[in-house]
Amino acid sequence: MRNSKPILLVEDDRLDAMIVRRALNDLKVTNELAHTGDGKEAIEYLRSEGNPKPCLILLDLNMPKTNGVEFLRIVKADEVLKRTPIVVLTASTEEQDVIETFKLSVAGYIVKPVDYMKFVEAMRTVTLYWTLSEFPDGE
Amino acid sequence: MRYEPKNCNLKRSKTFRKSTVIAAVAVVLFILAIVFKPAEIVLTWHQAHEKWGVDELIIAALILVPVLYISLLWNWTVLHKDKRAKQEIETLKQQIEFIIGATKTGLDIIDSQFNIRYIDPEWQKVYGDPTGKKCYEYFMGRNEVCQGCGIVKALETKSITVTEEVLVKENNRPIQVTTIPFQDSSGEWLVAEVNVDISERKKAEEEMESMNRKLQATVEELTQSNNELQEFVHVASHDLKTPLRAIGILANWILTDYGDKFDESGRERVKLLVGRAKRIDELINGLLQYFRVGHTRGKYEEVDLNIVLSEVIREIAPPENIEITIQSELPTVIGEQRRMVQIFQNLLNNAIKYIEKPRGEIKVGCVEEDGFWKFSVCDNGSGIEQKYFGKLFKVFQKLESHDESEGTGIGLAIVKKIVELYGGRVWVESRPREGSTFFFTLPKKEMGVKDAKLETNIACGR
Repeated sequence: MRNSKPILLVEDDRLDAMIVRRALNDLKVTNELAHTGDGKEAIEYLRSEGNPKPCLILLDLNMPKTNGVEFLRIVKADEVLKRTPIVVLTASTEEQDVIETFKLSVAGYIVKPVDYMKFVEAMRTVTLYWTLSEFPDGE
Repeated sequence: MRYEPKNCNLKRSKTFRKSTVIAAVAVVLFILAIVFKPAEIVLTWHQAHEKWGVDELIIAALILVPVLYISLLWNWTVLHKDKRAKQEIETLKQQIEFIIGATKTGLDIIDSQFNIRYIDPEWQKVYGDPTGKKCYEYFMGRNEVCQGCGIVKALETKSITVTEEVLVKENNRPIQVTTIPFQDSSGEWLVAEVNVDISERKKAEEEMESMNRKLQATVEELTQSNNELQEFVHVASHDLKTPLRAIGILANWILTDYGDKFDESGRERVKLLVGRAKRIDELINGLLQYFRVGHTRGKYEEVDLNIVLSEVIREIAPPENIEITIQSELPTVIGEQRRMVQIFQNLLNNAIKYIEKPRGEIKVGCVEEDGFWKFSVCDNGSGIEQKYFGKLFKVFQKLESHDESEGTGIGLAIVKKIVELYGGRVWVESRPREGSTFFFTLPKKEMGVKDAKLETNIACGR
């Protein structure tokens, strides 16, 4: 990716987290992957001074406690946090979810494929895009 | 209370009877005149007293006889007229009672003290003699004025009042009572009550009410089952897919990471596992798609099907050996764009899938027919035997086994659901090895279809 900041993965399913980690590994993405289990944890991570700010957030929607949409509402209401690009990575094909998350200014919406190779393809496209694109880094 | 129609023609020829009586009286008088000879008696009496001469007597008789005659005639006429008027009133009364009886309408007249002044004979047949009875005793068997009595209100407001009553004595027969206040010749206020049987109406009302209740219950049941279905869809789209993805991907990793530890048949089995996981995923996606038709409603807008079709073809990117031709200009319809896309996507994909010939031909056409647009997608593929036509449009019905063909078998079911949702229908004509033509219709009117100039019939060469 274009910068060396970590990627934040917000995902409650342990295996899904494993899949993302392995896919990024297979793609030789060197950025660190920070993993939080739900939206609440993710907010805490983002607001904690000691943690490096992520360059990209991969967000699951269906999670306990604070779900993906609730997480988005909080983040997009925060002047600093709202600059970080967020890509939704979910099992949901509900049109409602697509519309709602794009209203909350997500950078992309990817439905998790069942086939691992397709999953790797999807991750490749995401990382490739963020290799080309500039990040809103200036703080 | 049932009314038995009866003969209402009361008068037979009375003139005949009267003439007979007059003739008899005349005969009696004639006989008396012959027996007693009254002229002789008068003359004898006259000669004894010698007051008037014979001439005076004749004049007196001449005057008296017509006077008597005229006065008699006068009296008779007046009496006769009076009697006839009475008879006419009686006849009219009977006729009115007959008519009221026939309409099952009870009629009564009641005064301000609730005394019954008149009651029609049909009521009397059921309730008996009303003499000396108050209306509430007579009809209802009560000791006091009924609650919400129409008579009180009608007399108070001097206006027609309509109430509903139940006749306890007649097995709770429901009636509608129209109470009409009026003044008789002496100025006393009375009411006339017109009592109409409303059993049928009440029965219909009750039936309707019970039907409404049933309908309400059905709606509730449906709403609940719909909610459960929504719930299921949510579970299917997320909670089922997460473990499924885990199975598929773990199987894939086993193959990648430990493939060299398996023999050929072991590797084959894990590959099958990966494939089956993919298939379940496709089936869930298909079901979700099918479910969403009609459940999630998109924007209704003008959709130019020419544009839709060319975009669908571009997206499908048919193999080089298959040529898709559009035979006639397609109309612009009002509907959901993506549903129109789904129809053509599924029909074209289906056609492409079953063309095994070196040169495939798919023809799309549209004609106007009986207020509908009739679309056709015609291929020269493998065709379908007629006995499978019914199965074709059902969810997950495939005519080949899973290992022989791709796809979930839900595409045509989705087409059917969309087309029927828009008020059209879908069917197929086919011959094995020659090809199939899928037809579907969309109503011109309901969908607010814009005109398209196409009258040419599709000729799909077979």
